[in-house]
This record gives sequence, C-alpha cells and structure tokens, in this order.
Amino acid sequence: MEKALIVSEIVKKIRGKEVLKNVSFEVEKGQLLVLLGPPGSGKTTLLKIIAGLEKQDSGSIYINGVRVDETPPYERKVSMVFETLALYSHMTVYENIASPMVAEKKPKDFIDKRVREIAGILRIEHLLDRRADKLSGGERQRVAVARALAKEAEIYLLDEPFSNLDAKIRYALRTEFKKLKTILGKTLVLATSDPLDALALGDAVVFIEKGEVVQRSTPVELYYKPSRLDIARYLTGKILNEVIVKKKAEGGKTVIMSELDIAISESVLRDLQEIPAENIVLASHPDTAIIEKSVENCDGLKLKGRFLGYEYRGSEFLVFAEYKNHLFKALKYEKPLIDFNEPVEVCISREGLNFYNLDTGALVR
Amino acid sequence: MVSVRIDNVSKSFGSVQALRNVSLEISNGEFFAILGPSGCGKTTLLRIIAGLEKPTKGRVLFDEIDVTDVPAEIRDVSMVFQFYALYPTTVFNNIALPLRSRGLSPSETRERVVEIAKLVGIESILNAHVDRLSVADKQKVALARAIAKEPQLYLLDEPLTILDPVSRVIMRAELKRIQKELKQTIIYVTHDQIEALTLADKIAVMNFGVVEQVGTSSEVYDHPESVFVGWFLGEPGMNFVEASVEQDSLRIGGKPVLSERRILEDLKSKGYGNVLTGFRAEHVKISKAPITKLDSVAVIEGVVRVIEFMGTYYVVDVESDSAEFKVKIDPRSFSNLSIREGERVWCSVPLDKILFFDPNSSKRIDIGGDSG
Repeated sequence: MEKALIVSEIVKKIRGKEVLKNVSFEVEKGQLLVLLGPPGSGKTTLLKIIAGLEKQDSGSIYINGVRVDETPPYERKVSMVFETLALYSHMTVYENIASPMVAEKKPKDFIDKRVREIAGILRIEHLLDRRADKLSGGERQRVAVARALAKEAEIYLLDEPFSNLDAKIRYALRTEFKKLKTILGKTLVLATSDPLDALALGDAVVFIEKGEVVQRSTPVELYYKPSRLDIARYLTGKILNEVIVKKKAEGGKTVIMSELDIAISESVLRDLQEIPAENIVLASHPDTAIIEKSVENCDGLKLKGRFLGYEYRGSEFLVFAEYKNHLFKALKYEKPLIDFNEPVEVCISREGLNFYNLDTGALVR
Repeated sequence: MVSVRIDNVSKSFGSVQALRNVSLEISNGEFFAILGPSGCGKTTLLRIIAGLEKPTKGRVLFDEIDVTDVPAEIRDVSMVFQFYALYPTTVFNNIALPLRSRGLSPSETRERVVEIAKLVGIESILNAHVDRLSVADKQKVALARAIAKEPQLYLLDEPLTILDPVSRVIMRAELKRIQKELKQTIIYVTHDQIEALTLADKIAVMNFGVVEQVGTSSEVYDHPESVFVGWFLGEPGMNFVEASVEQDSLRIGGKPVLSERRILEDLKSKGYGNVLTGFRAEHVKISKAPITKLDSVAVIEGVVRVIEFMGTYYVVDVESDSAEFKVKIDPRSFSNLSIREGERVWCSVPLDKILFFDPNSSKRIDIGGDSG
C-alpha cells in the first residue's frame, strides 16, 4: 500500500538530552495512526518535526514519497491541531473553520460546502454563528478539530485533541471523530496519552516511551499482546492481574516457585518450562479471570483470597479479591453475592495469560 | 447518627442559580451519594448541609430539627475533601487533636487514636510524619481525623479522586466497611458514576442545580426517570431514538420496529404521537441476517458506521435513517459476528429493556406492565 508518511530514524536532542531516539514508522494512505505514550515521551516534538515546526538532528521525513526535510512547514501539506486550542476569539465558529481555506483562496461556495459538511459530522452546525470566545471547552475542541480538517492537506496531525474534556464528551467526540475520518478518508496521526483513544480510533498504534518506539501493532494486538509489562500496565490502568514465579533447577528437574500459594495447571506449567527466563511475570486482563466462592476446573492459575468488593459499572462488575497484599480483579456480568472479607477462589485463565521476563520486562510468550 | 432532610432548597450566587428547589430525604445510617457533572450544584448543596453556605430559600433539617440558621461549628458534622488538609505533624497527633479538644485525658486519647487507626488501617504508621506518607495514607489520616470528631454526620467531597486506581479500590472497600461498622450517615459527593453506583445505598443524580432522580444504583441505571440520567449513567450512556407512534406499530424513520399492542395503546391513550425510545447499548443484539418478526423484541435495521475497540468490549455505532445508536459487545461475540464498518445489520432489543420518554419534557413515560 502507498505510504503517506515515512518517519525514518529521527533523532532529536533538546538542551543536550535525547528526546527522540531513532524513531521510525510508516503510515499508509487513509490510515489513522495513533502515537500513544505517557506525557513527556516525545510525541509532541515528533509531530512538530513532521509538520516542519521543529528540525530534527538526524533522520528524514517523507510525505507521499517525497523527502521534506528542507521543505518549509507551509509547503508540506500538513495540518496540525495543538493541545492548546488557539481559535480566533473575535471570529465566529464559521469564520474559524473557514479561515485556512480563505487563506488558501478557495472559492466561496467550496468553502461554504466544506464548513457545513464538517460541522454537520462534528455536530456543531448550531454553533456556526457563535463567537469563539462564547464556546464551552468541548465546543472549542470540536471547532479546533473541524478547522484543522477543513484545511486541504495530505496529512493531519492532532496532538491530544480530546484532552481536558470530561469523560462523556470525550466519548462522544471520539466516535464523531472516527466517523469523520471514515467519511473524509484522510491520513491522520493522532498523539495521545489515553490508551482508550488508541484502542478505539487507531488503524495502527505506535507506542512511544522516553523517545523510543517500543511497539507498533494494531490496537487489538497491542491490548492482548503488549510487548512489555509496563505497556500492559499502562493500557489497563493498572488493573492487570500479575503473578510472579521463579524457575529453579533441582535434581535435573525444573521447579516452579511462587511467593503466593498458587495452583498452576499442567498446561501453564508446560508453558513455563519452555520459556527461556528464570523470573517470570504472568499477567492477564480481568476479563479472563474469575473470582467466585469456589472455582472448579481452572485451566490456569488458581489461588485463594478474600473478597474485597466490586465496582458496579452499570453493565458489568469489576470484582476484587486480595491475597497476601496482592489485588486480583475479575470482570463479571452478574452482581457478586459474596460478603466483604469472605474467602474466595481466584482463577486466572490460561487463555488470556501473557508471560513477561521479570528482569527485562519483555514479553516472552 | 442522624437523618437529614433538605426541604425545597434554592441557592443563588448573584444572577446564577446554583440550586433550584432541591428536596431530599436521607435516612439514618444511609450511605447517600450526590452524583452529577461538574457545575451541577452538588458541592454547593454539601456546603449548605455543612452550614458553610446559607440557602437563599428552603430549610435543612437534622432529625427533623431545623438547622438552617445553626452555624457550621455546632452542627456536629465532619467533612473530608478531595484534597486532604492535615496538620504538619505525626499521624498520631492529627487524629488526637479533635479528641484532645473534646477534653479526653491523655490515656483515653491514646486508646481512642489506636482504635480509630485500626479501623482505618493505619495503626502501623501512627508515629510517622504526615509529610512522609503516600497520597492514599494521607487520605486515610484525613478520614481517621474526621472519625475522631465523632460527628453525627459525615460529608465527603470526592475524597478518592486523587488516589491511584488500586488505592481507590481498597479505600472504597474500606470506606464501605467503616461505614457499616460505625453505622453512621454519610453524604458523599462525586462526579464519578462508578463511585456512586458502587458505594451508595441511594443516589441523587443532579444536573443544572436540579435533582433529576433519587434511587438505588439499579433504579437509576436501569430505570432512569429522565433522558439526562439515562445518558449520564453508563459507558456509553443510554441510547435515545425518536420514534412515531402509528396505528399498527412504533416506527423509526418510517420503518416499523415494534408492534406490541399493549405498549402502542398505552402510548396512544396518553396522547403521544412521537416518543423517545431509550435502551442500553449492552441490551442490543446484532444480527447480519434480517429479523422480520417483531416478537417480544424491537428490531431496528441499520448500517454499521463506526466500530470502536475499548479493550474489554467493543462499541458498534449503528445508523438507521435519522437515528443513530450504540451497541456494546464483548470481544468473543464480536469476533464470532465478524462485522465491518459499512455493513447492513439488524439490531434487536427485548421489549422489557426498552423505556419510553416524552420528547418535550425528556421525562420517562410510565407504561403499564413491565416496560416502565
């Protein structure tokens, strides 16, 4: 497939500190690539380099196959939305969205059609005549996204477009944004620190940490097979189930040990034997775990604990059990009929288990 | 322990009306949550209960005694805020201070401090300086100090917001346990629906200074009384689709989706030509094959517009003529279905999972039988 953007071996130092370390990835035409990473991981700097607003120390950017390292920003055919929303406060929403097209001297009826089309999808038609300084936070965000997308460009860069919004508006805007992307068929690069943005929106996700690309995959792969333990923790907001085991050779046999009193099924024991690491973290999402008064036929890890309560999320319950200061979580669709502190059994199913090397944090199976 | 009655309270700040005719009844020993988005008036209401603000109109009663004009310091309430304010000394001293000011002897004070510290789970850090504590432990100290006051009423303003997710879970469980042991009335203000749904015996959902609904977790989630409550609770919020009430069926965009006579007649007898149908995303089943029989289900035909992967579930956005709604599917069912954006689908919702709302007032319409 045709590449709309190639980021090749980008290195950038700021005040002597390397903030981007040999970053490379490609974005196909019409694809939405999400740059996911914790705040301060270098995402914004990278977007600025793609837009030509900052210069890299080494490496190259290609847009539609053309190297643009020496091309000034205004000739790169890139449109960017920043986290800090700079709208023209004295102008109406209509004028704000139209402004890049007016600057490009597009015909009036073309501008009008495009402003209304994008405003329709982002549900801001009713705001078109309102002045920008009279908008709420969520409305400003929509207008900023609309203005960036109204501009004729090959690639659209969005830096945290949904930050500082309350969860409900964020949810709604995300769906509208995805719809807009499908309709317009544009190539987009979106930087965010929110894993849900990446999972929900991305055709592909690049996980970036401390200026380095740590994983590039589809959202589903990223969620189920994070290449490192810290990514797995980041993605689930720390509600991962984790058990540490150690392998030790004893009299020609490998013995599996854990600080927790844990029953490990034959199948998982076989998995562990095959793994070339001594200290292993077994990790899984709460949706492949069970917490009940008693669990029979557990193919995976089984342990006993005490019931700590649940989170009622409306359509499901996130259930918690504690064992030796470790917290275990399971997703359940019916209300658990268990009392606080009551003994429970936890089964972490083999199906969802990932194995990480405790010493390096790398996925080993 | 005390019961609290808010009687027709309104509060204005200049031209801004923060609360409008709010009436609530909170029973003895109840864990009562006030839930709503930022700016809905919930904190103002809490401050009025504490005596830190005076209502413009209406009364506050503790055990049926009017305390509207009683100053905060003699209302006998303890407040815990989102950001703990602790004295820069040891944990012990922080808990001991309210006890000493109540005139307890040093030995009584020590005994009681240890007792409270055990209850809250901080007995091992009594000698630590609060500056050295984690955020979660600091919040526990704030709670312990509130308990040391032995108030008749606890007012908690988003006390768990600053905690990390794991500490929040543990603190939530602890809070619930402490409340059960103390048998005290707690009023808990939050914008976090999971917090309210999980902790509270009863929830008041507020919006723009008005109480939209009071009920148990399942009442507000499963039977919202207004469009706002349905939308605000749940991720995603409840779907609302406009439908016309015709002779033989309920229609969306001209297409029949529901033909249950009992419902149609009830709606017609109440004079509705149009209604908003409300249903939750998790109650919708998607099929790639046409469903033609409207037997105890409503069926909406549409096209998949957007698919969003949310980790533990998928959200599928379906468009049907003028309507648009979301479907929540677990990953396994999603992969069995293998649907794609742009595909035509048939969505069915069991009739007992559908609610009807007045399109003008946005209030729920009571339907005889199980659909309301």
